[in-house]
Amino acid sequence: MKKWAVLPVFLLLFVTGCEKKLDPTIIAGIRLVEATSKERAAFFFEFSKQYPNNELIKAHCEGLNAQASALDNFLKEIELTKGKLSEQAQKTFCDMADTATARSKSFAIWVERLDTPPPDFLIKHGEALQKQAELMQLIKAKLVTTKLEEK
Amino acid sequence: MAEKQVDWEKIRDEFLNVLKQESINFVTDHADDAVVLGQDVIEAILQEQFMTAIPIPEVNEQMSDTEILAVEKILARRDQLAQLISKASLEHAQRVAQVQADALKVGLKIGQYMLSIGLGILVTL
Repeated sequence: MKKWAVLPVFLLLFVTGCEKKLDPTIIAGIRLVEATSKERAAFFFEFSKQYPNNELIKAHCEGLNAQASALDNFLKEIELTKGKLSEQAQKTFCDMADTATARSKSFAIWVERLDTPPPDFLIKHGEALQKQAELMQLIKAKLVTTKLEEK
Repeated sequence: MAEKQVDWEKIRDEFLNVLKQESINFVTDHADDAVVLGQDVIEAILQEQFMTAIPIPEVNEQMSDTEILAVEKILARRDQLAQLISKASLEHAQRVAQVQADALKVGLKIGQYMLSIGLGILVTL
């Protein structure tokens, strides 16, 4: 009886071992997005210190920090599982791509409405947000396509 | 040898419980944002619908400054929710890795026993 008890464990090892790994381009993309996201968050955090009472800057900063942290967790999971990411995490990444796109649009509108011409670094921040959102949308498309191909 | 069994249903339930608890904490921490998020949205989060529970509003040039601020807050909450989902997912992966490591140990033990028995038979012969 005891000998057979280990069988489900080996079956489990086999099943989890067969779980599909992410395409290397997707992993590279997530890595790139994570690095730029950290950079965006750090930059905006420094900027936000000058405007401690500005609610919009605070919300923008919170969002960027959470985004960077989530992407960091995804990368840790990919490293731990040697290239895999849970279904829930993949779905969350796709949702985050849409969040990033909306944030990039919202930030562009906010910058346009500033009383004075926006400083160069804010324009660059906006451009970087847009590029980051585009990259996340590309990764999302690749994730969705891979899923459809699997089916 | 100790009997080693993995209860995947239990692990899955634990994972969902972590998410649910995190969601409850999330809603409690952002109680002031209830107006922004809406009670129905909070209910949906608690019903484990997670990210889809906070829909992205349409962003356009005609929006007032107040609306833009509300959008930024909603986007921040979405990413904070994503943060906790990713954390729960990572914790789940860590737990699975631990279970696999334990199973590997059991496998090695069996290998050791079989090798000993084989060697024993050889020596006897």
